[in-house]
Amino acid sequence: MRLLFYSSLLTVAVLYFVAAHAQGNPALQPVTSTYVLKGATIIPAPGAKPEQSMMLIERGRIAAIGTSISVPAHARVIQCDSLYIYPGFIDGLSHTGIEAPKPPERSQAPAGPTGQGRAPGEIRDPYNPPNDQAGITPEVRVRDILKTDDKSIEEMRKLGFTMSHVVPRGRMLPGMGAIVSLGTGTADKLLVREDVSVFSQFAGASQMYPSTVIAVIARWRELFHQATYAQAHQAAFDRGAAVDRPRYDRATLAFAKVTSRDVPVYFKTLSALEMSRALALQRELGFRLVLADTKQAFRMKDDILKAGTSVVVSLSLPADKSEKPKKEEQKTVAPQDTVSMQTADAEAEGKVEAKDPEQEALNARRKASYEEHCSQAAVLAAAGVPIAFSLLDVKPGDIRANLRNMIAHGLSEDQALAALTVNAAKLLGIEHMAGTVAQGKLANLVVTTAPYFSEKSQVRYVFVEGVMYEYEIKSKSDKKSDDGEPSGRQRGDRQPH
Amino acid sequence: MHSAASAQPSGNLLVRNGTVMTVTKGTMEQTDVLIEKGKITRIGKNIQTPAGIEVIDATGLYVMPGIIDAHSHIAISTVNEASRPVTADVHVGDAIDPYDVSIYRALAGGVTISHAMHGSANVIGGECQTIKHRWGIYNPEAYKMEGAPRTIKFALGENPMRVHGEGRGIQPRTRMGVEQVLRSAFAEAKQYKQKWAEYEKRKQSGLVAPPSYNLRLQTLADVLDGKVLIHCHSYRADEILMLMDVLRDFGIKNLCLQHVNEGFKIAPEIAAFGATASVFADWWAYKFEVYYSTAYNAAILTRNGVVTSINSDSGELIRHLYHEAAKSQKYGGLTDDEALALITINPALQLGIAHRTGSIETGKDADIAIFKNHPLSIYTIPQYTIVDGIVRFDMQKDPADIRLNIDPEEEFPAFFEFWETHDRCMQDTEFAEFFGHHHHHHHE
Repeated sequence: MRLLFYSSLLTVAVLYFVAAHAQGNPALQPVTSTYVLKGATIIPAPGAKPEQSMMLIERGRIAAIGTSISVPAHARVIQCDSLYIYPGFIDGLSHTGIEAPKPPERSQAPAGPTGQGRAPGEIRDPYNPPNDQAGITPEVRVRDILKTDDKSIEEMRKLGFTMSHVVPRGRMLPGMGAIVSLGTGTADKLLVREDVSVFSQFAGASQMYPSTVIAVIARWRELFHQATYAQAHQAAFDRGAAVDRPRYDRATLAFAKVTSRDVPVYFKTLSALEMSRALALQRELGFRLVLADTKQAFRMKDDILKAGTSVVVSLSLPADKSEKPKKEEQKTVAPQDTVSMQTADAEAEGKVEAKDPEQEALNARRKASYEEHCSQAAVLAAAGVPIAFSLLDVKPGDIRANLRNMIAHGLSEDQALAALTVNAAKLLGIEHMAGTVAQGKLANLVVTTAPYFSEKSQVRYVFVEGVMYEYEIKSKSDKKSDDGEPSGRQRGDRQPH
Repeated sequence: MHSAASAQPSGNLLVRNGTVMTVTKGTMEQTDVLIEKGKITRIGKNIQTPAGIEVIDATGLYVMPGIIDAHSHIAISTVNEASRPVTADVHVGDAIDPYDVSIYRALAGGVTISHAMHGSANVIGGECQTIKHRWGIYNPEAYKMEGAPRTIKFALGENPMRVHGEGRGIQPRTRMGVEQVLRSAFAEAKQYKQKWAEYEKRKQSGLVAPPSYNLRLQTLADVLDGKVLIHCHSYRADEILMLMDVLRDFGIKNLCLQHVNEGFKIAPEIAAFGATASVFADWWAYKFEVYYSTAYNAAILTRNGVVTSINSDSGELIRHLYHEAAKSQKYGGLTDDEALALITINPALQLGIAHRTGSIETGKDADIAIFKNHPLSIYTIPQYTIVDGIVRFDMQKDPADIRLNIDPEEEFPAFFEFWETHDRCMQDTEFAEFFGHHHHHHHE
């Protein structure tokens, strides 16, 4: 009895230390990095049979799983009765840990007689801007810009994400992607692998070339050929030919990873139209393509299957406008003054109740479109396309509800879990170290109070490479918003970044 | 419906007992047109109906070639890359928008093919795209008319002078500057071409470095080589003569003059150069350089031997190009065939697709428009529009809501879009206005 009392005291003390560490105090190291998780239901992989097992975590990896593990003396035992253990989640694309750029300060000075009335340095030559101004910086690496104390890392972690495919922010070619461990520490510590992808978007530069989608595609094409010819130039130089020493063009050199097919291009393609454009460019130039952050892939199933491309679908979903209260809808539906006046007239005459069949038909099509967008993930999964999830424009607070909504629209829980784990691991080439709960893999785990996709489920612990992050459980009494999120100190962190 | 032989969907159809206006080979009463796998295979009386084929009864109706618009900006997401006076590297074919309802509206006006053009902000704009109105297909690539020659947009006069000269204080600020931009661009392209020719000759040795690749100059080199047809936005006689001089100096022959409001002044010179002209029926005075105009322009050019077409440059005008063509009968007395040629075979010639479209002849693509009442009558009403043998517009089956893509979060239906009622020639130049110029709505 006394022993139990002291061990609980010790547990409390250790808990305190670990929690302090988890909150980012680098001065405090955890007392032990060896854990034994007892009594939990382990879901080792999507579709696998849940099992009641013990787990030993050592050196940041899963050292053993089984029913009869001998507990090392230095291990901290976590009682996980009635808890569920999942593989730690991996996103297929995100800006986690990358600061949003500050909006550039614009000069409001009027143009002078020669149109030169802008602030010095704003746009020196809009006809031929340097690559960094034009949004062409494929050489940018996550290691140099990762903000390890950015709150997005903590926000994603407490939802269960333990690894992320992070890409820089920007315009046409923001930089190269890296796989980042969502733990705490320096960028070097968190970086798992870099140069795993080149990120691209159909986003023109502001007020300079390339400003529109046609120029972005033209520049893409040109860069591709330039990178190819640069290799021929380098080869001639290496052969000792009497040619100029090749210029060290950082954008071209980085882009050579695309022309050589060393890495895939993650193309942000929100709409079906953007997906078509990326696919056309891919057919023309022959690079490796991943369609990323998609929202309308439900329309592109056949093209995707034909091209054999992987798809990283957006975890954000549109708002359901049909669920608005009636009164509010009438207000927002009115497009122009004339219609508002008609509405006002109608209200005055007490005719508001009458349904306009044309409006009803339009609402029905909008609702159908909403349903289609929610079914995107399900449509792809059913067609056998292995999907992962993108977090580029989803609010962290919406993620769990959106997953449930996708499941309500036909995605199975196993498919959803696969997208969050094994599919992403495979896509990123890290399935040997992550994606499932298995001996030898990194101890990246999500521990929940109920099956993850159920509404009442809450995250109790997240392990990132064996480091434990603990979250308070909301009791029923302080559950008001009932969004399945851990409460307490985490609540304040739930703004989108 | 879908043909295995062709990359694009095509259909089989029998159009029975109509007044067939071939445009190139006369008009035949009570005549059938048989369409197989998207091609016109027979024209004649009492053609036996092949088993299982869909039949359109055209009794009392007029059957004409699908209308072709040699100047439009529908079905593209972006019109102007206005960031440079020369943007030969860009291509509006990369921005085809199959969801643009203007495509359906054009079909409702009998238009089966349009020339989606880059805008007129730059002296040398981007490459354009000849598209077939295969409305309902989501893949933008499917709209590109396979085998249609490459075309590129040039622009003279006020638009590039305003955007680049007035807007940013750089060349071209005057018409002289426009000429200089053209000459500099071609001279640079000529050098570029030579450099690459040298490289190609010696590259087997592995001991030479490729010249710096430049897509803008590469496209211009293709223009010099006659691989790309120039379609040049132009109004004034003097600047058109200037352009023809420049092209002669660089040995370029392929030229279609767009708008060409003062073409009537220099019709013999245009004919001598071998250029063609694509005009408005009676649209002018929307800016200073287009005051000197006449509704007789199309007829005068035609009578002087210039292959002439009437274009829309507008998502609204494209719906009634047959009315626009009919105006050439009021102003200039063109015959029915000459008037219809303005919107069929002539634009086909200007786009380099006349061997496939622009008239009703066996072997040609089954692009057909069927009207109630004579298409040059003010009472005409389009009934069916057929592309590659597939009925893409049917007056009797005209849905209330034709949109293909619906924003799930839209606050109100966007049936009336401001932009669609205005021409888009200067669209996407707004950022140029940032440099201190007021926004104009010029029709061009």
